[in-house]
Amino acid sequence: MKTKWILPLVLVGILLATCSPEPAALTVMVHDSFAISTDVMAEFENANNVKVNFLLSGDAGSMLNKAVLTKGAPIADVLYGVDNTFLSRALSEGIFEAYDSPLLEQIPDQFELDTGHQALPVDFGDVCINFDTQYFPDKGLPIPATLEDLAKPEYKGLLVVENPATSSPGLAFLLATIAEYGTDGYQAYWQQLKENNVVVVNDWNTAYYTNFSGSSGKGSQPMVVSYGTSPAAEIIFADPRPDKAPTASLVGKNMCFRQIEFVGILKGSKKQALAEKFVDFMLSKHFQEDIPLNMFVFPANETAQVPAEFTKFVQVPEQPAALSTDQISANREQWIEAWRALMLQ
Amino acid sequence: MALLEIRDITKSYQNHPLLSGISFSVEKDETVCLLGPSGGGKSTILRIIAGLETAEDGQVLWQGRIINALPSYLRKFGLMFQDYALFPHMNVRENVAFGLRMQKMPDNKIKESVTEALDLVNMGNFADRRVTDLSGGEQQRVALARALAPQPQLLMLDEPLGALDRTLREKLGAELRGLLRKMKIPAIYVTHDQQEAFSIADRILVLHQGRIVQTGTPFEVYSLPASPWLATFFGMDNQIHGIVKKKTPLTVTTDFGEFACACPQGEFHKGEQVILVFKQTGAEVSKNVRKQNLLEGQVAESIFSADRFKTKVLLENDIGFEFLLDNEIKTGQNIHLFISPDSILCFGNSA
Amino acid sequence: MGVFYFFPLGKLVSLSFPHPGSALNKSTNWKIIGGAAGFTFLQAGLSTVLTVILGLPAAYLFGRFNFTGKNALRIASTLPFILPTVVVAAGFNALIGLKGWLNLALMGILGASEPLINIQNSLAAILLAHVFYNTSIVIRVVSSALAQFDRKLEDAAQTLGASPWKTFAKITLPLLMPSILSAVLLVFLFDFTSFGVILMMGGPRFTTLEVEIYIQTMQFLNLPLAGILSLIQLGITMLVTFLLMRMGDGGIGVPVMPRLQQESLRNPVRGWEKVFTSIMVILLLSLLISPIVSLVFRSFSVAAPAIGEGLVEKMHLSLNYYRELFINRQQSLFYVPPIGAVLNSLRFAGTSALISLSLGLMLAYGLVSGKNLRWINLLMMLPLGTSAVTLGLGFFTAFSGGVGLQKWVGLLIPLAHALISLPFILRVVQPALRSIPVNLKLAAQSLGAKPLDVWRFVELPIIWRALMTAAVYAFTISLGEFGATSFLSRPDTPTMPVAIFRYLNLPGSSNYGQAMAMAVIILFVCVVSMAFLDRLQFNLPSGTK
Repeated sequence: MKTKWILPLVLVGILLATCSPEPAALTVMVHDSFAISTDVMAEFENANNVKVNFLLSGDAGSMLNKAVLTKGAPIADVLYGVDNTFLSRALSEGIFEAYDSPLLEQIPDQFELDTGHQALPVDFGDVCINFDTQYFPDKGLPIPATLEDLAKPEYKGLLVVENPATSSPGLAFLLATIAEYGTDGYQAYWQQLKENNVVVVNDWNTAYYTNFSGSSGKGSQPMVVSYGTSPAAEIIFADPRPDKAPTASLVGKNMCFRQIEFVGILKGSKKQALAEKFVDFMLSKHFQEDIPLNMFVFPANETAQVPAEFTKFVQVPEQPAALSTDQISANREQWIEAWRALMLQ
Repeated sequence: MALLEIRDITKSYQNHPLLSGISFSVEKDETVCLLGPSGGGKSTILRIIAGLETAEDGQVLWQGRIINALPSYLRKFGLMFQDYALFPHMNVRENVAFGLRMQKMPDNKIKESVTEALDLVNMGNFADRRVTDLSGGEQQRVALARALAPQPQLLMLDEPLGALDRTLREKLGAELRGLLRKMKIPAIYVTHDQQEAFSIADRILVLHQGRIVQTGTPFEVYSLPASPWLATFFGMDNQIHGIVKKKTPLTVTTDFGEFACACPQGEFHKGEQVILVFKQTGAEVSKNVRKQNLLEGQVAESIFSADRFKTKVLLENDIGFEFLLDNEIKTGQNIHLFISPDSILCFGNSA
Repeated sequence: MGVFYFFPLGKLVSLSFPHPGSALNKSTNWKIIGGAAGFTFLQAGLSTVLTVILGLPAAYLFGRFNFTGKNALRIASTLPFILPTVVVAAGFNALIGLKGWLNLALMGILGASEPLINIQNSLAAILLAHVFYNTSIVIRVVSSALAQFDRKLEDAAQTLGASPWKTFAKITLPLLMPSILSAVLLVFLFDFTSFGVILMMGGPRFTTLEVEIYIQTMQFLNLPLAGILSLIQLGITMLVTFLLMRMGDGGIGVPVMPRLQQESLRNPVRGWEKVFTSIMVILLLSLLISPIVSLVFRSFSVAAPAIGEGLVEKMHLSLNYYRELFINRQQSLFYVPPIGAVLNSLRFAGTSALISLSLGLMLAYGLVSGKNLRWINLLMMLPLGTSAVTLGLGFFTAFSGGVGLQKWVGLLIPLAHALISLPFILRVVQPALRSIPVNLKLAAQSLGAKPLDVWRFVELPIIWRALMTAAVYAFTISLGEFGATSFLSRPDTPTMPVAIFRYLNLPGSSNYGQAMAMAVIILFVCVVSMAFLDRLQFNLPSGTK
């Protein structure tokens, strides 16, 4: 019986084999904030005769859900955009295939949170409090230097933060406070902030463009939880370019939280070799140097150069807050719910 | 003093004149019929009287008082609509009771009056039915009961029998006639059907191109229509042109001979151009040859109709006249008809 | 519908049940969830009531009177429906934010130093935004019923002694009830599953079932619990739908005379009519239009203006943003070309309108005399009342057949939109179909017309307006990108809202400006397409005389 099928199969196989001048396709799952230049991608595609399809899959949480739901029969070959807050979960779900990329040598150890090399670090950024550089001198206020300062009465009502349940930078800032005050002390700190009239909104958009006084929205709060690279963006995306930076970041100890983003080959992908090539490409200098102006984060590869605006206008914290990914994974829900119970009554 | 008086009502519709100078009155106990072709504005007159529309000019007077500004719901004029306009979300009883509720009558009295009204129209058993389940005739009766129940001072009916078939129309027409006689309230009845008008009205007003062109009892109007158009409207198609030969007795020369007319509609002088109308009932087969009032022609058809014979006679120039004769005449036969002068109408030719 | 709704839903829900225990752990704060359910109901109920309070008189305005600027006003009041929440929030902020026009004006007039109106992150903001969004539903549904209402019934009532108010209360309103209840149901469901408005206008203090589902899914990756919450949400939806339909049942519905012209519409004549018209127009303008206008102005000045401060120079500055939209400065692979985005949006919307029209027609014909009417109507409403998050993931799970998914996206999106539009289509098309007197069709046939001709020349003109109303609705739903489709990825065919999000998610005044410029372009495209559709709606295509 089997022999009946062998011949047609062979024919099909021959046909397929001889039809290979068609470029192969590689599918990469990314979150909606992903951006890269056409010529950088063209370089990879031409070099490997491959067409890369990007699947924009929502925010990080949405993307991870989709990956987990299709575990084993993945809809893509590579997934990029899992960050350190979701890393533990991604690893425990086992969606990745380990890959020991040679380019890992160019990446500092501190970023390799997954020693098993299932998830490889691509970029990092800090969530920091941005402040309106004009506001403080105008009011004769000193710029806050520590988390502690934010609770002082002279800064009453001047800070806007995002809800960690609904916002990634919001969560990051909460984690920073936990890193500083510990799991037992952070609630007291937030109580202080609450009494100091901290403004809470649900999403970064509202916080930055409606509440923040340093953005085009010209809001009422001169301090907002945003990204360390936002001040650079304010320069780059302003026309005409101001000579003085309208915003800057507060980079005291544990005031910023470091987010690292990872890429991984999805287990079950049929294009292992191609996927590995792509991962290598993502970690390579050329790609890495394209990252800053597209996604406004820093390249993980230490040989990659960052644009001048970053060097000039981005304040990099010396002691960014960090928590172990396992700890985050285990307590995330509990921390957020506790925060909600405290802050939103 | 007339109960209802309409003076000089004028109205246009989309910049075309619809009604011009409509004036008439209605006495107590009178049923007046507005007769005219469809679309002539008859319904509009009713709506103006009811207060649903305003006239551009003219007055509506009730018992001598001008009521132009009085809103419709205060006039107490009943209106029965052409397509009945029954309230679909209410049953028969509630429909009929509506006007009474608006008068804030107590509930038990309402029940009584509703039953009375429904009995009047022979719909007593239908009180609890949904109006959407009723047939055309049933709906019409409910609509009538609804209009009558609040005992309006004036009743207006807009083509009430229009949507019904022939037998129903005759039956309900008779019922309506009986009811209206009994009710003793003034009524205005609008229709395009002459038979209906003749059988129901005390007085008929014929409407043509926005004007009232004749008023009178049915008999008056029918036996002496006031214009060739009216004559045609009443089915008197036997019309020819002529020239006055002699003024008294009025004799007119036509292509078909000389005719003496006994019914001049107006003063004529010799040489004037006129139109003659031969009533269908005024012809008789003539054995003798005459000098005047003789029509000669060939029978085209002879159809039996309610104990007379409708006979179509072809005259010269292919003109066909129709007469009602006592006997059947075979098709093709040549006949001579004597037309009695009493049955010939004469109109000035202002065309 | 079985395929596109129940299957994805079922698949996702089935994820909850294998491990029901894991859905709940000690962190699950049932207090929050209970509160969320209660609040969802509360805000939806309040919003609906307020929407009806504004919407009914407005529907009366549109359903009874003709006045200058009527078409423009009608289009303008539908615009809110189409705008992405981000844009609406920006518009409201521009109008009544702490540095919005209203506050600035008030501060100027009253000489106050502090902004007087502060409703950011409040229930009032949520309610306001909902009214802003959904009034157009009430207007369209109810005014279309009103316009077809047989006025003779009101005349009859008047001759029977009913004053205008009594006539309205006893005759017009009861007959209008079914369409009012339809509108109420639709509005309630939209408010019930509302997400963006709660998130952005309400702020963190308020949480609804939909927000909680979002948090459980995106933040905690707790799909089982999200599934349970979706079921709860769905349950409430079904209950409300059932109740409202119960109330509307037995209602005869508007007795329509098959009319080809809008015979019952006229210019306001009497005194109170003129006053009413003016008041309503002003009210609609201020409530529905002013946020949009503020937004447009803000896009041109991109900063809270100090009055008198070089408006011209600011206008010049912001025309730049329109230009910038067309330039791919970073040579980004994901740059969204504005024209392309517009075309994509229009394409999806057009397809969606066509699909829902055909589906609706088929269903309406099938259901005209159906006893199963009630159940099918109930089923139709379900997609509206289902969590967008859940549905999106459900779609994803059900249809992720590898890379094949990409090809189908082009069809899936309009299909999803069409599904959501279905209840409205039915509601509008069905009464129109029922209103065709059987005699008309028989008469045509007896005159020798073939069935297709009968349809074309007799039925089509009569139901044309209803069909077009339905098509417009489907079109606007699609443009507004409701529900699950935000979860269907389509990098090759970005649409207008996607374009806005790309810009708004980055800091920088140029990005903000371009986002606002894009929003204005969206507005413009909407106005033009709706004007076009409205034209079609009220003029039969020639040839169907």
